[in-house]
Amino acid sequence: MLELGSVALGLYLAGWLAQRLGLASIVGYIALGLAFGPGSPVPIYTPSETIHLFGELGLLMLLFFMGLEFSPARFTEGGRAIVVAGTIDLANFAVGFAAGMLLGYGWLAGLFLGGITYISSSGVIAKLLTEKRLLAYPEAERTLGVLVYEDLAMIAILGGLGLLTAGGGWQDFLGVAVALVAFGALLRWGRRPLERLLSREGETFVLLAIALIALGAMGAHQLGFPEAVAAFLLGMMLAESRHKERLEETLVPWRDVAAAVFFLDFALSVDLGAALTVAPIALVLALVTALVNLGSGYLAGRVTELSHRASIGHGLMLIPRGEFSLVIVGLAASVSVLPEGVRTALTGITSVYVLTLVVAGSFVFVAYDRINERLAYWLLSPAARRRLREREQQLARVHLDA
Amino acid sequence: MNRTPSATPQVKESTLPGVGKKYVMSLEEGGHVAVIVKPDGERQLYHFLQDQDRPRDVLTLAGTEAQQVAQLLGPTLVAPPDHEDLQIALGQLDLEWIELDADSPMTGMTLLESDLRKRTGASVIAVLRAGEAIPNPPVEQRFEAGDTLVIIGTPAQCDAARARIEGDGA
Repeated sequence: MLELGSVALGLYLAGWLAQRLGLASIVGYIALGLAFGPGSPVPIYTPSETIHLFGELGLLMLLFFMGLEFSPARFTEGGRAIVVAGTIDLANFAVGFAAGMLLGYGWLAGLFLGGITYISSSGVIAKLLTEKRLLAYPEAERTLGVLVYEDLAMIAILGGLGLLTAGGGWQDFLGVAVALVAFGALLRWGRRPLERLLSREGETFVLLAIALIALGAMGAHQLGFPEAVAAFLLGMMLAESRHKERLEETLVPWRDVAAAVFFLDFALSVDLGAALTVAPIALVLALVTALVNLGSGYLAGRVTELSHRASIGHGLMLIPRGEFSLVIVGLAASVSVLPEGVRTALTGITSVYVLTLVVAGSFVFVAYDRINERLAYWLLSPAARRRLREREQQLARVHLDA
Repeated sequence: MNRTPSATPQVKESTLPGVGKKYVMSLEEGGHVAVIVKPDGERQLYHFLQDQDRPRDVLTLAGTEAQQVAQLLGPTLVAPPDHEDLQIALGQLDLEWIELDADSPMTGMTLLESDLRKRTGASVIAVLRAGEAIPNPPVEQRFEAGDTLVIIGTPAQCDAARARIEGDGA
Protein backbone atom coordinates (compact mmCIF):
# COMPACT_ATOMS: atom_id res chain seq x y z
CA MET A 1 0.00 0.00 0.00
CA LEU A 2 2.93 2.31 0.84
CA GLU A 3 4.47 1.53 -2.52
CA LEU A 4 1.24 2.19 -4.38
CA GLY A 5 0.81 5.49 -2.59
CA SER A 6 4.36 6.67 -3.18
CA VAL A 7 4.25 5.67 -6.83
CA ALA A 8 0.96 7.53 -7.35
CA LEU A 9 2.19 10.59 -5.46
CA GLY A 10 5.54 10.62 -7.27
CA LEU A 11 3.91 10.29 -10.69
CA TYR A 12 1.42 12.99 -9.84
CA LEU A 13 4.13 15.44 -8.76
CA ALA A 14 6.35 14.60 -11.73
CA GLY A 15 3.52 14.95 -14.25
CA TRP A 16 2.36 18.19 -12.66
CA LEU A 17 5.86 19.67 -12.72
CA ALA A 18 6.42 18.68 -16.35
CA GLN A 19 3.13 20.29 -17.34
CA ARG A 20 4.02 23.44 -15.42
CA LEU A 21 7.24 23.60 -17.44
CA GLY A 22 5.22 23.23 -20.63
CA LEU A 23 6.51 19.73 -21.33
CA ALA A 24 4.71 16.47 -22.04
CA SER A 25 4.03 14.53 -18.84
CA ILE A 26 6.03 11.55 -20.16
CA VAL A 27 9.19 13.65 -19.54
CA GLY A 28 8.26 13.90 -15.87
CA TYR A 29 7.55 10.17 -15.51
CA ILE A 30 10.87 9.10 -17.07
CA ALA A 31 12.81 11.72 -15.15
CA LEU A 32 11.19 10.52 -11.91
CA GLY A 33 12.37 6.97 -12.49
CA LEU A 34 15.88 8.06 -13.42
CA ALA A 35 16.26 10.54 -10.55
CA PHE A 36 14.90 8.28 -7.80
CA GLY A 37 15.58 4.85 -9.27
CA PRO A 38 17.90 2.15 -7.91
CA GLY A 39 21.07 3.68 -9.40
CA SER A 40 20.52 7.16 -7.99
CA PRO A 41 21.82 8.66 -4.74
CA VAL A 42 18.20 8.91 -3.51
CA PRO A 43 16.80 5.48 -4.35
CA ILE A 44 13.15 5.94 -3.39
CA TYR A 45 11.84 3.56 -6.04
CA THR A 46 12.97 0.03 -6.80
CA PRO A 47 11.70 -2.15 -9.60
CA SER A 48 8.98 -4.40 -8.23
CA GLU A 49 6.45 -7.00 -9.26
CA THR A 50 3.58 -4.54 -8.72
CA ILE A 51 5.07 -1.73 -10.77
CA HIS A 52 6.00 -4.12 -13.52
CA LEU A 53 2.53 -5.64 -13.61
CA PHE A 54 0.82 -2.26 -13.93
CA GLY A 55 3.43 -1.21 -16.46
CA GLU A 56 2.74 -4.26 -18.62
CA LEU A 57 -0.94 -3.42 -18.56
CA GLY A 58 -0.04 0.14 -19.60
CA LEU A 59 1.92 -1.15 -22.57
CA LEU A 60 -0.93 -3.41 -23.68
CA MET A 61 -3.46 -0.63 -23.30
CA LEU A 62 -1.35 1.82 -25.32
CA LEU A 63 -1.35 -0.70 -28.16
CA PHE A 64 -4.99 -1.62 -27.70
CA PHE A 65 -5.93 2.04 -28.12
CA MET A 66 -3.61 2.41 -31.07
CA GLY A 67 -5.64 -0.36 -32.72
CA LEU A 68 -8.93 1.14 -31.58
CA GLU A 69 -8.06 4.52 -33.17
CA PHE A 70 -6.74 2.86 -36.29
CA SER A 71 -9.10 2.58 -39.17
CA PRO A 72 -8.23 1.71 -42.75
CA ALA A 73 -10.75 4.29 -43.93
CA ARG A 74 -8.66 7.09 -42.47
CA PHE A 75 -5.67 5.69 -44.25
CA THR A 76 -7.22 5.66 -47.68
CA GLU A 77 -8.69 9.13 -47.23
CA GLY A 78 -5.22 10.67 -47.36
CA GLY A 79 -4.56 8.53 -50.40
CA ARG A 80 -1.40 8.50 -52.41
CA ALA A 81 0.19 11.45 -50.60
CA ILE A 82 0.21 9.60 -47.26
CA VAL A 83 1.63 6.44 -48.80
CA VAL A 84 4.41 8.34 -50.56
CA ALA A 85 5.22 10.56 -47.57
CA GLY A 86 5.06 7.62 -45.16
CA THR A 87 7.40 5.55 -47.29
CA ILE A 88 9.99 8.34 -47.46
CA ASP A 89 9.63 8.67 -43.68
CA LEU A 90 11.00 5.13 -43.35
CA ALA A 91 14.44 6.74 -43.78
CA ASN A 92 14.34 7.31 -40.03
CA PHE A 93 14.41 3.56 -39.52
CA ALA A 94 17.74 3.45 -41.35
CA VAL A 95 19.21 5.92 -38.85
CA GLY A 96 18.83 3.58 -35.90
CA PHE A 97 19.71 0.48 -37.87
CA ALA A 98 22.94 2.06 -39.13
CA ALA A 99 23.77 3.23 -35.62
CA GLY A 100 23.26 -0.28 -34.26
CA MET A 101 25.56 -1.74 -36.88
CA LEU A 102 28.20 0.97 -36.41
CA LEU A 103 28.20 0.40 -32.66
CA GLY A 104 28.73 -3.30 -33.24
CA TYR A 105 25.50 -4.38 -31.52
CA GLY A 106 24.61 -6.77 -34.34
CA TRP A 107 21.80 -6.68 -36.88
CA LEU A 108 19.05 -7.77 -34.49
CA ALA A 109 19.78 -4.93 -32.06
CA GLY A 110 20.07 -2.72 -35.13
CA LEU A 111 16.49 -3.60 -36.10
CA PHE A 112 15.29 -2.71 -32.60
CA LEU A 113 17.21 0.58 -32.64
CA GLY A 114 15.79 1.27 -36.10
CA GLY A 115 12.28 0.91 -34.71
CA ILE A 116 13.17 3.21 -31.82
CA THR A 117 14.41 6.02 -34.08
CA TYR A 118 11.67 5.47 -36.65
CA ILE A 119 8.50 5.86 -34.69
CA SER A 120 7.38 9.39 -33.75
CA SER A 121 5.16 9.96 -30.75
CA SER A 122 1.55 10.27 -31.96
CA GLY A 123 0.45 11.15 -28.42
CA VAL A 124 2.87 14.03 -27.95
CA ILE A 125 2.47 15.36 -31.49
CA ALA A 126 -1.35 15.32 -31.55
CA LYS A 127 -1.45 17.06 -28.17
CA LEU A 128 1.04 19.76 -29.18
CA LEU A 129 -0.68 20.38 -32.53
CA THR A 130 -3.94 20.96 -30.66
CA GLU A 131 -2.49 23.08 -27.86
CA LYS A 132 -0.38 25.28 -30.11
CA ARG A 133 -3.30 25.61 -32.51
CA LEU A 134 -1.58 24.34 -35.64
CA LEU A 135 -4.24 21.81 -36.63
CA ALA A 136 -5.46 23.58 -39.77
CA TYR A 137 -1.97 24.01 -41.21
CA PRO A 138 -1.66 21.94 -44.39
CA GLU A 139 1.39 20.11 -43.03
CA ALA A 140 -0.46 19.17 -39.82
CA GLU A 141 -3.00 17.08 -41.71
CA ARG A 142 -0.16 15.40 -43.62
CA THR A 143 1.76 14.77 -40.41
CA LEU A 144 -1.22 13.12 -38.71
CA GLY A 145 -1.69 10.94 -41.77
CA VAL A 146 1.95 9.85 -41.73
CA LEU A 147 1.59 8.97 -38.04
CA VAL A 148 -1.11 6.47 -39.01
CA TYR A 149 1.29 4.98 -41.55
CA GLU A 150 3.94 4.78 -38.83
CA ASP A 151 1.50 2.96 -36.53
CA LEU A 152 0.89 0.34 -39.17
CA ALA A 153 4.61 0.01 -39.92
CA MET A 154 5.32 -0.32 -36.21
CA ILE A 155 2.89 -3.23 -35.89
CA ALA A 156 4.69 -4.92 -38.76
CA ILE A 157 8.05 -4.22 -37.08
CA LEU A 158 6.85 -5.53 -33.72
CA GLY A 159 5.42 -8.63 -35.34
CA GLY A 160 8.57 -9.24 -37.33
CA LEU A 161 10.84 -8.72 -34.33
CA GLY A 162 8.63 -10.95 -32.22
CA LEU A 163 8.91 -13.75 -34.73
CA LEU A 164 12.66 -13.27 -35.21
CA THR A 165 13.35 -13.49 -31.50
CA ALA A 166 10.89 -16.29 -30.72
CA GLY A 167 13.55 -18.96 -31.16
CA GLY A 168 12.59 -20.27 -34.53
CA GLY A 169 11.67 -23.93 -33.99
CA TRP A 170 8.80 -25.32 -36.06
CA GLN A 171 6.61 -25.43 -32.91
CA ASP A 172 6.91 -21.65 -32.66
CA PHE A 173 5.76 -21.16 -36.19
CA LEU A 174 2.91 -23.55 -35.59
CA GLY A 175 1.91 -21.50 -32.52
CA VAL A 176 2.00 -18.26 -34.47
CA ALA A 177 0.00 -19.85 -37.26
CA VAL A 178 -2.61 -20.99 -34.73
CA ALA A 179 -2.75 -17.49 -33.24
CA LEU A 180 -3.17 -15.92 -36.67
CA VAL A 181 -5.96 -18.35 -37.58
CA ALA A 182 -7.62 -17.64 -34.23
CA PHE A 183 -7.51 -13.91 -34.89
CA GLY A 184 -8.80 -14.42 -38.39
CA ALA A 185 -11.68 -16.47 -37.05
CA LEU A 186 -12.41 -13.89 -34.35
CA LEU A 187 -12.42 -11.15 -36.94
CA ARG A 188 -14.78 -13.12 -39.14
CA TRP A 189 -17.22 -14.59 -36.60
CA GLY A 190 -16.26 -13.05 -33.28
CA ARG A 191 -17.42 -9.45 -33.67
CA ARG A 192 -21.10 -10.00 -32.96
CA PRO A 193 -20.63 -12.13 -29.83
CA LEU A 194 -17.91 -9.74 -28.68
CA GLU A 195 -20.28 -6.81 -29.04
CA ARG A 196 -23.01 -8.60 -27.14
CA LEU A 197 -20.52 -9.61 -24.46
CA LEU A 198 -19.50 -5.98 -24.00
CA SER A 199 -23.05 -4.71 -23.55
CA ARG A 200 -22.50 -4.07 -19.87
CA GLU A 201 -22.66 -0.98 -17.73
CA GLY A 202 -20.39 0.65 -15.19
CA GLU A 203 -17.46 -1.15 -13.63
CA THR A 204 -18.39 -4.52 -15.13
CA PHE A 205 -17.74 -3.03 -18.55
CA VAL A 206 -14.27 -1.80 -17.57
CA LEU A 207 -13.41 -5.10 -15.88
CA LEU A 208 -14.53 -7.08 -18.87
CA ALA A 209 -12.54 -4.90 -21.27
CA ILE A 210 -9.37 -5.22 -19.17
CA ALA A 211 -9.87 -8.98 -18.91
CA LEU A 212 -10.27 -9.17 -22.66
CA ILE A 213 -7.06 -7.22 -23.31
CA ALA A 214 -4.97 -9.08 -20.72
CA LEU A 215 -6.20 -12.57 -21.53
CA GLY A 216 -6.16 -12.01 -25.27
CA ALA A 217 -2.57 -10.80 -25.14
CA MET A 218 -1.48 -13.59 -22.78
CA GLY A 219 -3.19 -16.24 -24.87
CA ALA A 220 -1.32 -14.99 -27.92
CA HIS A 221 1.90 -14.92 -25.92
CA GLN A 222 1.46 -18.57 -24.97
CA LEU A 223 1.30 -19.39 -28.66
CA GLY A 224 4.51 -17.45 -29.28
CA PHE A 225 2.65 -14.55 -30.90
CA PRO A 226 3.84 -11.05 -29.84
CA GLU A 227 1.36 -9.87 -27.19
CA ALA A 228 1.77 -6.23 -28.21
CA VAL A 229 0.53 -7.04 -31.70
CA ALA A 230 -2.31 -9.07 -30.23
CA ALA A 231 -3.44 -6.10 -28.15
CA PHE A 232 -3.35 -3.90 -31.24
CA LEU A 233 -5.41 -6.40 -33.26
CA LEU A 234 -7.98 -6.64 -30.45
CA GLY A 235 -8.33 -2.88 -30.48
CA MET A 236 -8.69 -2.84 -34.23
CA MET A 237 -11.40 -5.47 -34.01
CA LEU A 238 -13.46 -3.14 -31.82
CA ALA A 239 -12.72 0.00 -33.85
CA GLU A 240 -15.88 -0.36 -35.89
CA SER A 241 -18.09 -1.55 -33.04
CA ARG A 242 -20.68 0.56 -31.28
CA HIS A 243 -18.67 0.28 -28.07
CA LYS A 244 -15.80 2.35 -29.45
CA GLU A 245 -16.86 5.64 -27.86
CA ARG A 246 -17.69 3.98 -24.56
CA LEU A 247 -14.31 2.22 -24.49
CA GLU A 248 -12.63 5.56 -25.08
CA GLU A 249 -14.63 7.29 -22.38
CA THR A 250 -14.18 4.70 -19.67
CA LEU A 251 -10.76 3.25 -20.44
CA VAL A 252 -8.70 6.32 -21.37
CA PRO A 253 -8.06 7.28 -17.72
CA TRP A 254 -7.00 3.67 -17.03
CA ARG A 255 -4.72 3.71 -20.02
CA ASP A 256 -3.10 6.99 -19.02
CA VAL A 257 -2.51 5.87 -15.44
CA ALA A 258 -1.15 2.48 -16.47
CA ALA A 259 0.99 4.08 -19.19
CA ALA A 260 2.50 6.45 -16.62
CA VAL A 261 3.49 3.41 -14.54
CA PHE A 262 4.88 1.80 -17.70
CA PHE A 263 7.13 4.83 -18.28
CA LEU A 264 8.26 4.68 -14.64
CA ASP A 265 8.88 0.93 -14.85
CA PHE A 266 11.01 1.51 -17.94
CA ALA A 267 13.01 4.28 -16.26
CA LEU A 268 13.60 2.06 -13.21
CA SER A 269 15.07 -0.61 -15.47
CA VAL A 270 17.64 1.86 -16.80
CA ASP A 271 21.16 1.33 -15.45
CA LEU A 272 22.05 4.93 -14.64
CA GLY A 273 25.82 4.41 -14.91
CA ALA A 274 25.46 2.73 -18.29
CA ALA A 275 23.05 5.44 -19.43
CA LEU A 276 25.58 8.14 -18.62
CA THR A 277 28.28 6.31 -20.58
CA VAL A 278 26.07 6.01 -23.64
CA ALA A 279 24.52 9.47 -23.25
CA PRO A 280 26.83 11.04 -25.89
CA ILE A 281 25.76 8.35 -28.34
CA ALA A 282 22.11 9.05 -27.55
CA LEU A 283 22.58 12.79 -28.05
CA VAL A 284 24.29 12.31 -31.41
CA LEU A 285 21.56 9.87 -32.40
CA ALA A 286 18.91 12.44 -31.40
CA LEU A 287 20.62 15.13 -33.46
CA VAL A 288 20.96 12.88 -36.49
CA THR A 289 17.32 11.79 -36.15
CA ALA A 290 16.17 15.42 -36.04
CA LEU A 291 18.19 16.27 -39.16
CA VAL A 292 17.15 13.18 -41.10
CA ASN A 293 13.54 13.77 -40.08
CA LEU A 294 13.76 17.33 -41.33
CA GLY A 295 15.28 16.13 -44.60
CA SER A 296 12.90 13.25 -45.18
CA GLY A 297 9.93 15.37 -44.12
CA TYR A 298 10.98 18.10 -46.53
CA LEU A 299 11.43 15.67 -49.40
CA ALA A 300 8.13 13.96 -48.61
CA GLY A 301 6.35 17.31 -48.50
CA ARG A 302 7.83 18.55 -51.76
CA VAL A 303 6.96 15.44 -53.78
CA THR A 304 3.40 15.51 -52.45
CA GLU A 305 2.73 19.14 -53.31
CA LEU A 306 3.25 20.92 -50.03
CA SER A 307 4.89 24.34 -50.24
CA HIS A 308 8.55 24.94 -49.35
CA ARG A 309 7.62 26.31 -45.94
CA ALA A 310 4.98 23.66 -45.17
CA SER A 311 7.38 20.87 -46.16
CA ILE A 312 9.94 22.11 -43.66
CA GLY A 313 7.13 22.27 -41.11
CA HIS A 314 6.17 18.68 -41.86
CA GLY A 315 9.71 17.57 -41.01
CA LEU A 316 9.71 19.66 -37.82
CA MET A 317 6.41 18.28 -36.59
CA LEU A 318 7.58 14.66 -36.81
CA ILE A 319 10.58 15.12 -34.49
CA PRO A 320 9.17 14.15 -31.04
CA ARG A 321 9.75 10.52 -30.04
CA GLY A 322 8.00 8.96 -27.09
CA GLU A 323 5.81 6.13 -25.89
CA PHE A 324 6.27 3.81 -28.88
CA SER A 325 10.06 3.98 -28.80
CA LEU A 326 9.74 2.80 -25.21
CA VAL A 327 7.38 0.01 -26.28
CA ILE A 328 10.02 -1.26 -28.70
CA VAL A 329 12.89 -1.04 -26.23
CA GLY A 330 10.64 -2.76 -23.68
CA LEU A 331 10.32 -5.65 -26.08
CA ALA A 332 14.10 -5.64 -26.67
CA ALA A 333 14.74 -5.83 -22.93
CA SER A 334 12.78 -9.07 -22.70
CA VAL A 335 14.58 -10.77 -25.59
CA SER A 336 17.06 -13.35 -24.35
CA VAL A 337 18.76 -13.72 -27.71
CA LEU A 338 20.28 -10.26 -27.27
CA PRO A 339 23.43 -10.13 -25.12
CA GLU A 340 22.90 -8.57 -21.68
CA GLY A 341 25.35 -5.75 -22.42
CA VAL A 342 23.52 -4.77 -25.59
CA ARG A 343 20.18 -4.74 -23.81
CA THR A 344 21.54 -2.45 -21.09
CA ALA A 345 23.03 -0.16 -23.72
CA LEU A 346 19.76 -0.04 -25.69
CA THR A 347 17.72 0.91 -22.60
CA GLY A 348 20.27 3.54 -21.61
CA ILE A 349 20.44 5.07 -25.07
CA THR A 350 16.66 5.09 -25.46
CA SER A 351 16.06 6.82 -22.11
CA VAL A 352 18.34 9.75 -22.97
CA TYR A 353 17.25 9.74 -26.61
CA VAL A 354 13.53 9.93 -25.89
CA LEU A 355 13.96 12.58 -23.19
CA THR A 356 16.05 14.71 -25.57
CA LEU A 357 13.65 14.45 -28.49
CA VAL A 358 10.50 15.01 -26.44
CA VAL A 359 11.97 18.16 -24.92
CA ALA A 360 13.53 19.44 -28.16
CA GLY A 361 10.44 18.47 -30.14
CA SER A 362 8.16 20.31 -27.71
CA PHE A 363 10.35 23.38 -27.92
CA VAL A 364 9.99 23.36 -31.70
CA PHE A 365 6.21 23.48 -31.30
CA VAL A 366 6.29 26.32 -28.77
CA ALA A 367 8.01 28.65 -31.26
CA TYR A 368 6.73 26.84 -34.34
CA ASP A 369 5.92 29.76 -36.63
CA ARG A 370 9.20 31.55 -35.96
CA ILE A 371 11.40 28.47 -36.33
CA ASN A 372 9.52 27.38 -39.44
CA GLU A 373 9.86 30.86 -40.99
CA ARG A 374 13.59 31.12 -40.19
CA LEU A 375 14.42 27.67 -41.51
CA ALA A 376 12.37 28.29 -44.64
CA TYR A 377 14.40 31.44 -45.29
CA TRP A 378 17.80 29.83 -44.58
CA LEU A 379 17.02 26.88 -46.77
CA LEU A 380 16.12 28.98 -49.81
CA SER A 381 18.56 29.02 -52.69
CA PRO A 382 20.58 32.30 -52.92
CA ALA A 383 18.66 33.30 -56.02
CA ALA A 384 15.27 32.73 -54.36
CA ARG A 385 16.45 34.66 -51.33
CA ARG A 386 17.45 37.60 -53.54
CA ARG A 387 14.06 37.56 -55.26
CA LEU A 388 12.32 37.56 -51.89
CA ARG A 389 14.35 40.54 -50.68
CA GLU A 390 13.61 42.47 -53.86
CA ARG A 391 9.91 41.83 -53.50
CA GLU A 392 9.98 43.00 -49.91
CA GLN A 393 11.76 46.21 -50.91
CA GLN A 394 9.18 46.75 -53.62
CA LEU A 395 6.38 46.30 -51.14
CA ALA A 396 8.05 48.70 -48.74
CA ARG A 397 8.30 51.29 -51.54
CA VAL A 398 4.62 50.91 -52.41
CA HIS A 399 3.86 51.37 -48.76
CA LEU A 400 5.87 54.65 -48.59
CA ASP A 401 4.28 55.97 -51.79
CA ALA A 402 0.87 55.41 -50.39
CA MET B 1 -18.21 43.90 -51.60
CA ASN B 2 -20.73 41.38 -52.76
CA ARG B 3 -22.79 40.41 -49.72
CA THR B 4 -25.14 37.89 -51.24
CA PRO B 5 -23.46 34.53 -51.75
CA SER B 6 -24.88 32.98 -54.89
CA ALA B 7 -25.10 29.35 -53.77
CA THR B 8 -24.65 27.39 -50.56
CA PRO B 9 -20.88 27.25 -50.06
CA GLN B 10 -19.24 23.85 -50.25
CA VAL B 11 -17.74 22.44 -47.07
CA LYS B 12 -14.87 19.98 -47.41
CA GLU B 13 -14.67 17.42 -44.65
CA SER B 14 -11.61 15.40 -43.67
CA THR B 15 -10.44 13.30 -40.73
CA LEU B 16 -7.50 14.25 -38.55
CA PRO B 17 -6.52 10.85 -37.11
CA GLY B 18 -6.41 10.90 -33.33
CA VAL B 19 -7.67 14.49 -33.13
CA GLY B 20 -11.06 14.91 -34.75
CA LYS B 21 -12.66 16.28 -37.90
CA LYS B 22 -11.68 19.19 -40.08
CA TYR B 23 -14.14 21.21 -42.15
CA VAL B 24 -12.93 23.77 -44.67
CA MET B 25 -15.09 26.38 -46.42
CA SER B 26 -13.98 28.96 -48.98
CA LEU B 27 -15.20 32.51 -48.44
CA GLU B 28 -16.71 34.83 -51.04
CA GLU B 29 -14.36 37.59 -49.97
CA GLY B 30 -11.37 35.32 -50.57
CA GLY B 31 -9.49 33.05 -48.19
CA HIS B 32 -11.10 30.28 -46.23
CA VAL B 33 -12.31 29.20 -42.82
CA ALA B 34 -11.31 25.90 -41.20
CA VAL B 35 -13.23 24.43 -38.28
CA ILE B 36 -11.68 21.65 -36.20
CA VAL B 37 -14.17 19.58 -34.22
CA LYS B 38 -12.76 17.51 -31.36
CA PRO B 39 -14.68 14.65 -29.76
CA ASP B 40 -14.62 16.47 -26.39
CA GLY B 41 -16.67 19.28 -27.93
CA GLU B 42 -13.86 21.81 -28.26
CA ARG B 43 -13.78 23.69 -31.56
CA GLN B 44 -10.92 25.54 -33.16
CA LEU B 45 -11.71 28.17 -35.76
CA TYR B 46 -9.01 29.21 -38.22
CA HIS B 47 -9.26 32.15 -40.59
CA PHE B 48 -6.95 32.12 -43.62
CA LEU B 49 -6.54 35.06 -45.99
CA GLN B 50 -6.47 34.47 -49.73
CA ASP B 51 -3.55 32.29 -50.92
CA GLN B 52 -2.16 31.97 -47.40
CA ASP B 53 -1.41 28.73 -45.61
CA ARG B 54 -0.83 30.40 -42.25
CA PRO B 55 -3.95 31.56 -40.43
CA ARG B 56 -4.55 35.23 -39.75
CA ASP B 57 -6.42 34.37 -36.59
CA VAL B 58 -7.33 31.31 -34.51
CA LEU B 59 -10.14 30.97 -31.97
CA THR B 60 -10.48 28.14 -29.47
CA LEU B 61 -14.05 27.61 -28.30
CA ALA B 62 -15.03 25.36 -25.43
CA GLY B 63 -18.10 23.19 -26.04
CA THR B 64 -20.59 25.58 -24.46
CA GLU B 65 -19.05 28.64 -26.13
CA ALA B 66 -19.21 26.93 -29.49
CA GLN B 67 -22.91 26.17 -28.93
CA GLN B 68 -23.62 29.78 -28.07
CA VAL B 69 -21.77 31.09 -31.13
CA ALA B 70 -23.58 28.55 -33.27
CA GLN B 71 -26.89 29.91 -31.98
CA LEU B 72 -25.83 33.45 -32.81
CA LEU B 73 -24.75 32.44 -36.30
CA GLY B 74 -27.60 30.00 -36.72
CA PRO B 75 -30.41 30.31 -39.20
CA THR B 76 -32.96 30.85 -36.41
CA LEU B 77 -32.15 34.56 -36.16
CA VAL B 78 -31.81 35.31 -39.82
CA ALA B 79 -34.80 33.44 -41.20
CA PRO B 80 -37.85 34.54 -39.23
CA PRO B 81 -40.19 31.76 -38.18
CA ASP B 82 -43.67 31.77 -39.69
CA HIS B 83 -45.50 31.83 -36.42
CA GLU B 84 -45.01 34.36 -33.70
CA ASP B 85 -44.35 32.08 -30.75
CA LEU B 86 -41.24 30.04 -30.99
CA GLN B 87 -39.28 28.94 -28.03
CA ILE B 88 -35.92 27.24 -27.89
CA ALA B 89 -34.38 25.96 -24.68
CA LEU B 90 -30.60 26.38 -24.48
CA GLY B 91 -29.73 24.65 -21.24
CA GLN B 92 -30.50 27.27 -18.57
CA LEU B 93 -31.61 29.85 -21.11
CA ASP B 94 -34.62 30.29 -23.36
CA LEU B 95 -34.58 31.92 -26.72
CA GLU B 96 -38.03 33.35 -27.60
CA TRP B 97 -39.66 35.07 -30.54
CA ILE B 98 -42.39 37.50 -29.50
CA GLU B 99 -44.49 39.58 -31.89
CA LEU B 100 -45.36 43.16 -31.09
CA ASP B 101 -49.05 44.14 -31.55
CA ALA B 102 -50.23 47.66 -32.27
CA ASP B 103 -51.57 47.89 -28.72
CA SER B 104 -48.42 46.67 -27.03
CA PRO B 105 -47.09 49.24 -24.56
CA MET B 106 -43.69 48.95 -26.20
CA THR B 107 -44.79 49.82 -29.74
CA GLY B 108 -43.27 53.17 -30.69
CA MET B 109 -40.71 53.06 -27.89
CA THR B 110 -36.98 52.76 -28.42
CA LEU B 111 -35.08 49.87 -26.88
CA LEU B 112 -33.70 52.30 -24.29
CA GLU B 113 -37.13 53.70 -23.39
CA SER B 114 -38.62 50.23 -23.08
CA ASP B 115 -36.09 49.53 -20.34
CA LEU B 116 -36.74 45.85 -20.97
CA ARG B 117 -33.47 44.46 -19.71
CA LYS B 118 -33.49 46.42 -16.47
CA ARG B 119 -37.13 45.55 -15.75
CA THR B 120 -37.13 41.89 -16.74
CA GLY B 121 -33.54 40.74 -17.13
CA ALA B 122 -34.12 39.45 -20.65
CA SER B 123 -32.13 40.89 -23.58
CA VAL B 124 -33.28 41.67 -27.09
CA ILE B 125 -30.74 40.11 -29.40
CA ALA B 126 -32.50 40.80 -32.69
CA VAL B 127 -35.52 42.48 -34.24
CA LEU B 128 -37.17 40.84 -37.21
CA ARG B 129 -38.98 43.32 -39.45
CA ALA B 130 -40.58 42.65 -42.83
CA GLY B 131 -38.51 39.61 -43.49
CA GLU B 132 -35.30 41.37 -42.50
CA ALA B 133 -33.24 40.83 -39.38
CA ILE B 134 -31.68 43.57 -37.27
CA PRO B 135 -29.23 41.62 -35.12
CA ASN B 136 -27.96 43.24 -31.94
CA PRO B 137 -30.27 46.31 -32.17
CA PRO B 138 -28.82 49.62 -30.91
CA VAL B 139 -30.46 51.30 -27.89
CA GLU B 140 -32.08 53.93 -30.13
CA GLN B 141 -33.83 51.21 -32.17
CA ARG B 142 -37.54 52.10 -32.29
CA PHE B 143 -40.06 49.26 -32.20
CA GLU B 144 -42.98 49.12 -34.62
CA ALA B 145 -46.16 47.10 -34.63
CA GLY B 146 -45.57 43.79 -36.38
CA ASP B 147 -41.94 43.54 -35.30
CA THR B 148 -40.85 40.22 -33.86
CA LEU B 149 -38.40 40.54 -30.99
CA VAL B 150 -35.91 37.74 -30.40
CA ILE B 151 -35.10 37.68 -26.71
CA ILE B 152 -32.83 35.59 -24.57
CA GLY B 153 -32.95 35.02 -20.81
CA THR B 154 -33.83 32.51 -18.12
CA PRO B 155 -37.36 31.09 -18.41
CA ALA B 156 -38.54 33.46 -15.64
CA GLN B 157 -36.97 36.47 -17.34
CA CYS B 158 -38.53 35.52 -20.65
CA ASP B 159 -41.96 35.19 -19.03
CA ALA B 160 -41.61 38.66 -17.50
CA ALA B 161 -40.49 40.06 -20.84
CA ARG B 162 -43.42 38.43 -22.61
CA ALA B 163 -45.84 39.97 -20.11
CA ARG B 164 -44.28 43.39 -20.65
CA ILE B 165 -44.21 43.11 -24.44
CA GLU B 166 -47.77 41.82 -24.72
CA GLY B 167 -48.99 44.36 -22.22
CA ASP B 168 -50.55 42.08 -19.60
CA GLY B 169 -48.15 43.21 -16.89
CA ALA B 170 -47.53 46.94 -17.29
